[in-house]
Amino acid sequence: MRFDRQLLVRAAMVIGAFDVLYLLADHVGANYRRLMTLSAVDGLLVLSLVVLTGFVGQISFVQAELNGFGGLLAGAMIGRLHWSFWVALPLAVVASVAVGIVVGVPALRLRGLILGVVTIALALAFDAWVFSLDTFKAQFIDRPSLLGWDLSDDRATFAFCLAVLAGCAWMVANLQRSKTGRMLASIRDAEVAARTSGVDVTRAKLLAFGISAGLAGLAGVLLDLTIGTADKQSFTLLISLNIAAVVILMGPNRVASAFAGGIFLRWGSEILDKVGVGGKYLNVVLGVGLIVQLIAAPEGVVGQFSHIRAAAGRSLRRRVAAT
Amino acid sequence: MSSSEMTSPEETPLLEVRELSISFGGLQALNQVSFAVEEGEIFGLIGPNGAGKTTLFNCVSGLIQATSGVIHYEGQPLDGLPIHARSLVGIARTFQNLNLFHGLTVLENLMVPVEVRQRRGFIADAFRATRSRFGESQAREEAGAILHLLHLGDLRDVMAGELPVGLQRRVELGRAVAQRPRLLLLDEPASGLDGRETAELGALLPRIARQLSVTIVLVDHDMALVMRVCDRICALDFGQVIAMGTPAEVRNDPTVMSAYLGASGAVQVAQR
Repeated sequence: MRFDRQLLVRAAMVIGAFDVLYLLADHVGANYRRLMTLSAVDGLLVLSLVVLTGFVGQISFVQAELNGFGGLLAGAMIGRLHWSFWVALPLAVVASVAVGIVVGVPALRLRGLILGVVTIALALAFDAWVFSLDTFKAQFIDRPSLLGWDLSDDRATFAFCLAVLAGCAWMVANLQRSKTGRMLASIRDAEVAARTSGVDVTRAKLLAFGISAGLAGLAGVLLDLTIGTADKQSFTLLISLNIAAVVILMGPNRVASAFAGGIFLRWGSEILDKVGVGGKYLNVVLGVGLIVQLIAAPEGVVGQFSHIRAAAGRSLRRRVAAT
Repeated sequence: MSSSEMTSPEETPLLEVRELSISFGGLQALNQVSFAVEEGEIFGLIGPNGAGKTTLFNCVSGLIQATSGVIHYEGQPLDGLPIHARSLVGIARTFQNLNLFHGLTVLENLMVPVEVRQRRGFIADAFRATRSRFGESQAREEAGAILHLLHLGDLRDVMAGELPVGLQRRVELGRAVAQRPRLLLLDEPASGLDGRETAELGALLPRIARQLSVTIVLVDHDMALVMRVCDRICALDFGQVIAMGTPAEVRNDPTVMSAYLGASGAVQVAQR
């Protein structure tokens, strides 16, 4: 059967890519291995905005705070209550989903710039108040083991985070190409027409905010796991703004942007340092990149890349056909 | 007012608008408008710009609230029913200003209303469960059949936003039909169409009404089209009903003539 063969090929490709990345992580040494792990974690955070901004066209500058809520809540459960990591992880994700749905309520009435400003206000409230609560004091996180697989080895941590990112990306891609994705896109493109076509816009928007917050919260727990602490310093409005900029630069409507965005966020400053520019100029690169992208590649870097790939494929097929 | 409602007492009309009034601030957009649309007919709604036709549609589809008066659909009052629920009970509409899902393909535009009627949550979609694939292929088939009916089959994989206006109008009609409506509200479906396209539309509407047993309420400025396809026509002016009856009756109504006097519509009406 053709379909099954396609599935096998895809599975082989995913496993192959996974192996290559794992070997790479094994080879590069602890520092770069950590960057690779953090790229996967940030990829998950960018993925949360792919769902929200790309699929349903909503703006949110509170993603890093939802990220932090998940991470700090898991930290509190592990550090203060001494619960198992594997209990804390799902509970923190569920709690993030709940907070995300509450954050989504203003989006039912507001849109565009005003919604953006409201989410900034929410983010500031998190930064200044929620995260200074005693509950969310910094905690050390011991790396757990998963069914005998010891995650305290940072190779294992990398493999785990990459697998979680890949799994989530697969599910989000599935959503995009099925009923849910089309429903969200209909709201993004023409909200009134979506309503008169029978789409329950309230439910769909809250669903998107919930899924998005769940992904961000999950990324927060994985960040705890990677850096070994849960600390509010890692979750600020500036990071939220950065993530929003990166997802637009890469192309918000593409799941692959999560991978590209994660790599950019963690490797960008490293590469700038290496070439002698200085990592602190990453935001300048991001800003200039955004302007160039808005003019030259409105679908984002990943979108542009897939156009080029499609064009190359067409010309290759033509050439093959001609011979 | 030359009202000639032929409502038989034992049959409830599909849509009944009773003494509907809407005002925006000081502007009276609709004033005590009453009419009934019978199952199976094509009902025309005409009037100069600003007469209140689109306002009336917005009120039936739930986008705005009436100041007073009631709308009955299938004998039940519609008030309080949210917009998407009105679609689910069988009221579909198109928009005067094109309102397609421009980032989706033509086929996907029609799949949206089909799929929202399927009972399936996002979890099945996230895992590409068999249920999800099955529902999707069903929706694909159903939407494809409607595209075929509207001669849009060749364009199924084109992005809706890339089509010219005339074709976008037809896709919008398709999206409304894909809701399997009982009542179809068409807001100026011929605007932006050339003569040939309008003629095609004129042939298409009665076919849709008959084949899919849909009742149509048609708003358009193209008098030739309205007169040709409608069974009955209601004329509005300044938010009030000024005439109602068969196309012939409305065409010869002096109030209608004077309402249109000076407008291009009057010339068209007079010439026919």
